[in-house]
Amino acid sequence: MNFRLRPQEPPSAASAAPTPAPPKLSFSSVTKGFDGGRGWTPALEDFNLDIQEGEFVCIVGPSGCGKTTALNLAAGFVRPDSGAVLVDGAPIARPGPDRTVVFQEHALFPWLTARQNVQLALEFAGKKKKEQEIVSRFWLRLVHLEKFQNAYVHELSGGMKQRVQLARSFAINPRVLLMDEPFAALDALTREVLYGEFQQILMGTRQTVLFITHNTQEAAILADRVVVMGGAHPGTIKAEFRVDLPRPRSFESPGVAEIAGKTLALLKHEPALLDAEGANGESR
Amino acid sequence: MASPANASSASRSKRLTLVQRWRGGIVALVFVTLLALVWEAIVRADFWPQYLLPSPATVAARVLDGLRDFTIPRAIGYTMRRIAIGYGISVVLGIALGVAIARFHLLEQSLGTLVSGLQALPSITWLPLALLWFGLNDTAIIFVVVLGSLLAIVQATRDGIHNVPPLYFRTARNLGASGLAMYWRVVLPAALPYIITGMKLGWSFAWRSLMAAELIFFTPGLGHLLEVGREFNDVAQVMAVMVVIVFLGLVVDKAGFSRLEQMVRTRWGLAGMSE
Repeated sequence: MNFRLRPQEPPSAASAAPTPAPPKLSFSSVTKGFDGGRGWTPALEDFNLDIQEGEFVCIVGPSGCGKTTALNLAAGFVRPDSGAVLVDGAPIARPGPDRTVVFQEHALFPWLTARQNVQLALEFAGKKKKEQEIVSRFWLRLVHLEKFQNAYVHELSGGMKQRVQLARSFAINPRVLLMDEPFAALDALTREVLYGEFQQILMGTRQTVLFITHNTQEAAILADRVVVMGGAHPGTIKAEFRVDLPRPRSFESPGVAEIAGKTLALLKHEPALLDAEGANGESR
Repeated sequence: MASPANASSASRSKRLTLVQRWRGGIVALVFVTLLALVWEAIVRADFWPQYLLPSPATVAARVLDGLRDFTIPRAIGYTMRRIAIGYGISVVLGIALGVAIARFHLLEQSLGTLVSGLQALPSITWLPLALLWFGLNDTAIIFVVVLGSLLAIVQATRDGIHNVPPLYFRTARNLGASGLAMYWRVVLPAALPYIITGMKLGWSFAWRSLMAAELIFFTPGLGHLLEVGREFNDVAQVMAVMVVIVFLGLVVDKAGFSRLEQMVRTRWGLAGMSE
């Protein structure tokens, strides 16, 4: 691919597993709770997760399991009550463009065109006008929106809006891309197309991604590693496993349905799993 | 729009609005003509003496006279200068105060409460104070105009910012926006539909305050022309000036605010269009 933006080691198979390189994103005994109607309730307790450079980690779990809290911690929207969230070994103090979030929807600014939305992110990053234009055109072309650069947000379909969000996030070249159910509001057909395009970009950039979803098929298609969470208040990691299927994958790719089924089974029978394994246990 | 399909739909909708605007104009014209005819009929029925109710033709002639001998344009000039200064101050100060109140909790509790309270005060009640403070000059009138329109703009700006979707703040912070850039590039544009509504309201308050002040305060301007008409028992002049005031109000609304509102609604995707 000709759009590699920074030098990185070639994607070796199972790149992350054995090497002791510092993780790109690290949750280290993180506890985070919220003050609700019934007092303080923990969302996460003693949560541990390391994401290596270039790795695509999917957290799958039902609502209330704390997966969104984990993403908000990584984004810096909330601070941990105890423990640490580290990016490249440094604690996260506030939201920042090195940890760009792709939201589920309504995260584009409606008074701007598609390209202006991307350019604004580059403007915040301190880029010159000329560079803003070149980079935003480049990324909008990659997500197949070159014809809609000057369209306002309400003129775009749901899928197009998410493409603009992807372009905006990749354009500022974050250390970690955080994705909060970004395709959940789309129809299945659009979703499948976007899985393909998204994977094409990932294969070129080797972007590190933390991806939150409740869709097991989505996790099977996109993830290098699936983290299954369960329980509620606090939620915990029930199981995690690697997905070593060739890319790009789709719904029909061999192995995807099995992985999705396995994930679903883990989600459904979480109490048994909890008995069988530790909080961070491997499930196979 | 770049895509041909969308371009054609955009031009179709533009044609549609043109037709609609044209039709709206005809309806308005017919209505005004009917109104004039009814007025004329009442005059001819001789219910009231002509010096109390002049015919529409007399009033129209008086407007033309006023235009020709330059009294009306000169009065418009004085009036417009005052409103431009007063309203201009209101807009700039109002938006700045609205942002500050929305931004700082302490200001919300102090100044915010004051703003809500002062809105109960009709703006013309500031005139005696203004006259004592500034004397018999334009500053006093402009002061009244500012106080008449400022609060509406402050309140609309504050409400607009409070109604900015939290996700916009999140997104902006996530993209690294901070302080001034965040407000200038995200918060104010997001609140713009509210701010424009506040500006429109502020304009009508400013206009009313100005007319009231000019009526009371002996100084050249449209309000003064009204007062002169009253003093000379010249109902035709009073009506002529009223027609001019209505006309000016319509022009500002149609050429200014309506267009601005329409633009914002379309751009922000608020106009009732299906996706």
